[in-house]
Amino acid sequence: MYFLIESLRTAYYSLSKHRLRAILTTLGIVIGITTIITIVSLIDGLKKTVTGEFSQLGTNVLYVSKYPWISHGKWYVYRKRKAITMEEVNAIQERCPSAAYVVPIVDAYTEVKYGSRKLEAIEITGTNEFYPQVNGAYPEQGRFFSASEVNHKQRVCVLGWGVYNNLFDHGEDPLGKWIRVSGIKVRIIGVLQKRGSVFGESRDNMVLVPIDTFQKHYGRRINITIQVMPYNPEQLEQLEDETVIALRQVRRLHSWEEDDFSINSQDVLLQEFKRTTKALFAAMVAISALSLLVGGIGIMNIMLISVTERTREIGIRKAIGAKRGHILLQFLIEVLILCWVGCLIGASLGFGLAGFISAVTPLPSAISVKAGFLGLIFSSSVALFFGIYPAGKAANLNPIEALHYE
Amino acid sequence: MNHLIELSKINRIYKLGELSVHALRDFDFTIDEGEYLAIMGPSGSGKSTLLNILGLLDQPTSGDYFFNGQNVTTFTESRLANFRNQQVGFIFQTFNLLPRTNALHNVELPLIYGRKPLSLRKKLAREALDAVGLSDRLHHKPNELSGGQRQRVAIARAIVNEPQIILADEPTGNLDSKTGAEIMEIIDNIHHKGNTVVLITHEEYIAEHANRIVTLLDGRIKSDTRLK
Repeated sequence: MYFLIESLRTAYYSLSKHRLRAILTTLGIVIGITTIITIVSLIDGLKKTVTGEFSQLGTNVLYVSKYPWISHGKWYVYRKRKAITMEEVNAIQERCPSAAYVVPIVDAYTEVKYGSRKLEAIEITGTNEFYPQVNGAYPEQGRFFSASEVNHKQRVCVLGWGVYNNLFDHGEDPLGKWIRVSGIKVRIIGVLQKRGSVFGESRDNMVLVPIDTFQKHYGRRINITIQVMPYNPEQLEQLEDETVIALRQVRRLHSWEEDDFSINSQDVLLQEFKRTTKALFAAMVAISALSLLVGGIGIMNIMLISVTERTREIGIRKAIGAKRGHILLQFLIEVLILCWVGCLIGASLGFGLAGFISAVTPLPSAISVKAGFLGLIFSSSVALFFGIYPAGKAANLNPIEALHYE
Repeated sequence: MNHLIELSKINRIYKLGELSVHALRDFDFTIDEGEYLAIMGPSGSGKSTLLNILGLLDQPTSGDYFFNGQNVTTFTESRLANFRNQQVGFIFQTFNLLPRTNALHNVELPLIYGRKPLSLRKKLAREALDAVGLSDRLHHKPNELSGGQRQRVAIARAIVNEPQIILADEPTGNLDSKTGAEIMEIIDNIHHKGNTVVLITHEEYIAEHANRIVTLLDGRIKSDTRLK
């Protein structure tokens, strides 16, 4: 393919001769690609972050609760549901053979005091001894509370990493110390390792107490969320079925009645998120495609001018033996180069812009190879689509007329 | 005997809107290998049309054209292009070099379309430029060369693929008489080396370089004279 190199060479000459024109021509492509790359980078970054946060919820855990996570605005229906209590927790424990861990979780926000130090709005969580296994939160100091401490309503607690750091001086041993949680004295037996935050909410500003201790103080009517985890991930669906049956039995639902509880998982959230971003993504790509279309029309316009200007050159080439295919290829390569240069500039601008946006706003971004490829394929298709007509026109010129063109 | 070129009942009619121009009428003509032929005649007599048809840039409206016994009127576009590339060398009045492209590359162009490998291409192009006395102007672009030098580049381009026939359309028409004489000397040399040369000219003294002069009038042969 010697004429391939020849075509590259001519393309280079012809583009560098009309540098300003080439830049203006490719501007449409540059803008289109910049938009695509920026948007895809931002959406990908968001996706990555959100997916990461979702997976912190545990990919392998079912959340049984009164409200579904995605409610589609029907709150008035769910509000009438019965609260979930320890009765349901026990039912799942007894009747679901696939359940490895069943962990009740109940929350309240209150103040925590140690000596003269006081923290406001700390999350108090009542739970059982399996909390560490299901949530991947293990003590850094001391230990977690045991089954017997849960059953005997012991006044013990495990501090979140943040609470410990705010209540105690650095290096101070918290174990065995007593703190006041909304007035009740509890003894510290452990401190959890740092866990970071999910959806902007810190998971280190919490105090964990045995659920019975919690209920003894706050009452037994407070709605519980139950975490259920199977022995292995493949059993998740089976576990969900078992849980539904167990709950329907314990709540004495008739076969015609709908479930009056919801089983959530991070997968549901992920699906919902993917559904929304997919629509967003499609809309954005459509908008960018429009600007590429405009760019393509610009390219076609300039290529038609270029073919007319170079009619004589085409005649010369044909006279010394260039075939139709050679001329076609020469102009297509020129159009592709124009487009790839635009694509390259657009991609650099797009990644730069995405990086800039994520630097000055909380939006994350990710440089994705996918975005680059998408841009390349899009712009190449545009170039070929809009370049084929001018190139074909050049290829089909009559050699004599072309040679005598003034 | 077999002729290199044999035209039989060639007609070429151009349609210009309502008007149709009969450029060649029932044209019968032969050229033998090694001939040096000058075509003369007033404007509109069909000289250029004949040359374009001989060089396969144009196709006759009717009639047959045999080149080395092959009927080229049946060729496809791609075969015609190959034929122009391999068998024909064109020299034009206006040189028709690619602008912004140096002499060496202009001469290489037919070799590129003829798919010759790079190293051979460079060698053949240099040899061709050497043959026309331009070995010191390889990297000059057409606008850096004089008219005579440009025509020499064009001649080098015409001979680089060692075609069977050289077709020259008023090769000295744009040159002063001294430079024109130098160019004719080069063309004479090409003929001496055994090439068939067909030359269009308006000038008697240029035509006298040939060994056969054909005069056209209104698309027909008016006279066909062999010299020497």
